[in-house]
Amino acid sequence: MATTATTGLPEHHVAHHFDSAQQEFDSNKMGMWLFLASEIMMFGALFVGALIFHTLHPAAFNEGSQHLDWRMGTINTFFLLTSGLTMGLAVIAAQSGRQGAVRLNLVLSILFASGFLVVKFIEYKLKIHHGTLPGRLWHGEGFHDPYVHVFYGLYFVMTGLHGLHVLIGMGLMTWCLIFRASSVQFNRKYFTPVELVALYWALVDLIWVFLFPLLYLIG
Amino acid sequence: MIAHVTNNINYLKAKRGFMSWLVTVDHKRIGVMYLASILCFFILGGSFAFMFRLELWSPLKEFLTPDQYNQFFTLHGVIMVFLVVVPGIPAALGNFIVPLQLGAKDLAFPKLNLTSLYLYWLGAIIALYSLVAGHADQGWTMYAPYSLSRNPAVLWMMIAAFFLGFSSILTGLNFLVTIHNMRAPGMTFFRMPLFLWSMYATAIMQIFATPVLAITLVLLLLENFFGIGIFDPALGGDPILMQHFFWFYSHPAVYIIVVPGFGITSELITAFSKKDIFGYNFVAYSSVAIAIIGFVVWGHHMFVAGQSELADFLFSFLTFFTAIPSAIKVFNWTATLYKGSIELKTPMLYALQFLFNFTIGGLTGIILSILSVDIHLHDTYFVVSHFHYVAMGSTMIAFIGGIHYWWPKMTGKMYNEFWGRAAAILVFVGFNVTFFVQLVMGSQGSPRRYYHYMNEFQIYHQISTIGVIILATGLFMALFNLLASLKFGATAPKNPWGARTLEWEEADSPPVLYNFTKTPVVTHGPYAFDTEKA
Amino acid sequence: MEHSENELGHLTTKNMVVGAYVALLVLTGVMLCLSRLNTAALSVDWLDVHAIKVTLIMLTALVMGVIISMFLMGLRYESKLLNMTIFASNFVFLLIFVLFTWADTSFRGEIDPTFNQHINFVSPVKAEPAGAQGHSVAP
Repeated sequence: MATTATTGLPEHHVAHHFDSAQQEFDSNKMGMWLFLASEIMMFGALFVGALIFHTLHPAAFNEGSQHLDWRMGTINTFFLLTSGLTMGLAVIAAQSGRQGAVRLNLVLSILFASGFLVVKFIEYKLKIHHGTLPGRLWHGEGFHDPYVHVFYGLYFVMTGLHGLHVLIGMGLMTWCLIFRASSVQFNRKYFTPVELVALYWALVDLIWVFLFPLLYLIG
Repeated sequence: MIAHVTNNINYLKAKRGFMSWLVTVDHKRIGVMYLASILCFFILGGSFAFMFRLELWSPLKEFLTPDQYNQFFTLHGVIMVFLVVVPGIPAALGNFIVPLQLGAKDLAFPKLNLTSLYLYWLGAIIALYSLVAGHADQGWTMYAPYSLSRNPAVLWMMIAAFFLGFSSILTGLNFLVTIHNMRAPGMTFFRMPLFLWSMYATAIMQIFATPVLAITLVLLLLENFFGIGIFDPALGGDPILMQHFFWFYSHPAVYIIVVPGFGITSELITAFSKKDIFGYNFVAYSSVAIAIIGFVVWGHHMFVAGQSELADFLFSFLTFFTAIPSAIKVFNWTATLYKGSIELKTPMLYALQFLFNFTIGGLTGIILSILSVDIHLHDTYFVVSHFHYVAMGSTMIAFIGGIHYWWPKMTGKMYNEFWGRAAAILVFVGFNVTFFVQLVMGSQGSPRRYYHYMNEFQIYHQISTIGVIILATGLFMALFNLLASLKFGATAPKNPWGARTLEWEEADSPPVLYNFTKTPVVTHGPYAFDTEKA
Repeated sequence: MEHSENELGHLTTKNMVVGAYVALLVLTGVMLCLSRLNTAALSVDWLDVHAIKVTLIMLTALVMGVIISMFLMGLRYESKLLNMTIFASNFVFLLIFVLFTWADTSFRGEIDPTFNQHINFVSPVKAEPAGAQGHSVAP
């Protein structure tokens, strides 16, 4: 598969402090993995908080959860999983040096990710409308459990932080699209930027896969 | 490559001008800048301690009001923890030494390294701003609901800690990747100097624990702004849950603080006994073991906070296990000294102090981990003394010893040995006078953090204050001695201590821009003093 | 895994990525069907059907997580154990975190009968004289 498409783009040079492309690739990938590990710990702590809250006030959790719209959650799951697919395809395209396919898949991923954010925006707007806001801002009506506002506190923190990561991921894809895919030739020897962005994006997927049932489905 | 053109000039002279330092990606220059910044904050944090220690000369007012006293010990705590001891050894010495000891040209991610320095500076500036933004008096632990007062100084301090946390994660990430992927030919994991093993263990904790601090601070900030109700008891939250979050980071942070000190001590003791370390594998693995055990003992900070008895028992039981790897290290260092040809050079004096102080710090830790005893001793001066024996008496002492050890490599100058030793002895005496009496005072029940105290404790406070004056004298003497060497010191030879690790045997003093003129090939262990140089 | 001179990492294949994607969609469907089950109608005395439902949903999520990490993140094809170890450490540390915190939050007052009772506690510290309000005490 070591075909190098003739796009006229320059080949990548190994940075001065590395001995080989292999060393550079391994280092970059391990660095990304460790970064993802720290991200998982950060989100993980929030999941721990949510689980503890679930054991302390299960009724509040259920009531809050039932007021979330599972349909919107499902649409968002579909958007994120599909953008995960297109990122995976972008990596394959980069490995085989098809620069055009890389660009196409990156654009598709960005589109699906924006779809996710649009739905999230609509959801937030509905919450603000109904007054189901965290803590001090709470003015929701018709709720029974006195702790429901804590559930919404968790909801906004967790989805907000996740949404921020979606935004960062879109930024990384755009960077990949504008600065890397048009200035360096990807091939079997060099596809690191696409690979790392795809890894990051898989993490965003991974977190959502747990966030979705925890917040929307188990109430 | 273009690289070879400039690779025969030492790193300090390779490029000139102020800007060449600010935009450098050279790990050595970044290490030097970290060192300078950390020492400045050490002096700042130390002067806060010095002032409230003078205030405690009598139970009455000397020159600080109670509010100022509360602010001063908060600032002392925050500056010393987040700006000095946590970044301390890894960021300053680690940045400089890790690639040199590995035989690498640089860390794996030089730009990320510079980013981490800028995050540190950003955090430091915000922390300094919080000094003038108001009265931060929540203590460095930022417990809810003290930290939920929407006090701007407290908020800025939390933002500062957030950035400093990220700086720490990036440093750890860089070290782990570098140690895994950038070792010189022949440098196997078990030929690595023990300093690298301790950096490795530290990096594990930095990467896995610090993100929890970041999210805790984010939650606290959101709690302040929107009252999300997770930690705030007034809104139905659980303040003890906040303590779990906080200590899940901050207990490993205690080991982030001390494990690098272990690494330096291993280097110093072998170099100045001219002897291979006793039980290399045990010392190496015990660093990693401490890192892992550090994750399962955080609840011992909360014995009297209202957590369940079940959790109390669990955490008390698990805490005892930290003694095992710590003791392995102390025994192995002592066994290394046995029949070694010991040279009492300045760094060695600090290493011996470390052994003495760490033994006291570690054993008082065991006493505190006993549940029933801790209920008596919790929040007394005993605890203050215990963690100062570890953080100051062990970590900072090892740090200062390490600075003396690697100073010739970093600057190319030799300091005055007489004044170095005199300062080391003063530091030892001053430190122990300051903190040993606090053990006695604490065991008699004198509570910590208070502005007033009962008259019967005055004699202990006065001895402690005298001790801190001696300590400060010793520290400034060491500092001036080092600074004076920059102007008056003799030029340092390549390997003044006769050590056998790569940074001494293969790199010049100070090293060239890319560390080595040719990639070193490692043929022996780090402490092979009984074999001839190849 | 040995690399030839100019090949880095594993080669991702289209089948793998598409296969993982289809599996994830199917599992999302499974999760939704489970959550739509009306447990109140199935409820029996000796079995907490709701708890089983929650467990099944979260287990499905776990399977989805494994699929993402194995195929989309390429853990399945890692030559070195390293990334697997990093991932496993994450899991272990979080498990420790939640279990120990739970050991606190769910068992408070189980052993000590005086928990949550008001104890008539007389402070040994004498109240400060009037005018000493400024002497606040930090945590």
